[in-house]
Amino acid sequence: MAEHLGIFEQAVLLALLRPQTVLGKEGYGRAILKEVQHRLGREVSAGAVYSTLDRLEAKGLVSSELGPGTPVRGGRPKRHYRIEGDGVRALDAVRTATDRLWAGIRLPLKGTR
Amino acid sequence: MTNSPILGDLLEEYREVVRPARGRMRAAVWLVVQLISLMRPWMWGLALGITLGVANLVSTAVAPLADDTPPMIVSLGVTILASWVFAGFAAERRSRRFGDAIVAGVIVAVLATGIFSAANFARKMIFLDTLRHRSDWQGLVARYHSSGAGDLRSFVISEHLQGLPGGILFSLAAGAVCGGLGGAYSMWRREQPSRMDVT
Repeated sequence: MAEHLGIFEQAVLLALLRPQTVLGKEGYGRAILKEVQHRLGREVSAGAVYSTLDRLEAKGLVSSELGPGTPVRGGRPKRHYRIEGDGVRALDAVRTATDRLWAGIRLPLKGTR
Repeated sequence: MTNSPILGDLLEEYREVVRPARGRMRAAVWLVVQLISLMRPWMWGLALGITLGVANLVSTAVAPLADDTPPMIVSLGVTILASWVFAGFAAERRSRRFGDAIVAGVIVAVLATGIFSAANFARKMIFLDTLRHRSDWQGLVARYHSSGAGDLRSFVISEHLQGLPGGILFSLAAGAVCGGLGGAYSMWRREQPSRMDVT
C-alpha cells in the first residue's frame, strides 16, 4: 500500500526532487526550508520542516548525511538530505490518486448557490 | 530536537539574513524564539520545572524569611502561564494541528509543576526550621498545633502530599487551556497576511 503523504510532506519531498531555487539545490535543512517556503508561497516554521524531515527519514522516504561546516555556521556541519526511491514512488502514488480524484472536473469549480 | 546541523542552519540564517535586515537586538530575539520553538514540550517542561525549582531553592537559601510579595507571585504566575501558552503556540505552528497545542500545554504544565513541586518539597524539608518562622507559614503552623500531629515535619509532608493531586489536576486543566490559547493564536496568526521576511 502506498505511503500516505500530507501536503507538507509532499512539499518537502518535491523540494528535494525538483528544487526551484539556487539555495534549494543544496538540499540541507535551511535550503529545504527556503525551497518549501518558495513552493508554498508562505512563511513556514523551521521546526515544521525539521520534524517532517525526521518523519520522512524514519519512513525511509529520504536519507541524510552530514557534510562539512562553514565559518558562517560556526563550523557546524550541514545535514544534506536526498529523496529515496520509496519517496519518489510515494509522490507518484499521491499524484496518481489526486489525478484520479479530479478526473473530468473542470476548473474553476462552479458553486451550487 | 535541537542538534548541531540545525543550530548551524539557524546561525547561518541569523548571520546572513536576519541580523542585516533587523539589527542586532531584534535578530537576537528571533534567534532565541527559534531555539525555543524547536524544543519539544517535554524538554520545555523539564527546563521550566528545573529553572523554577532551583530558583525557589536558591531564593530560600539566600533570604529564607523573606515573604513572597504579591507582585512577585503575580509576575511568576504570568511567566509560567505564558510559557504554557507559548508551548501550545510552538506545537501548533510546527504541526498545524490544534490538538497538538493542547497536548503540548498539558505536557509542559504537568512536567513543570511536578518538578517544581518536588523541588519545593525538598526546600521545605531542608529549610523547615527556618521557614516555620515566616509570616506566610503561620497559618500552616497554627493548623499543625490544632491538629495534634506528632511533629511539624510529618505534618508538612502530609499537607504537601494532600495538595499534590489538586496541583497536578490544576496544572493539567490550566495547561490544556493555555496550550489551546497558544494554538488558537498560532492559527489566527496564520490567517493574517503572509510575512515572508526570509529570503
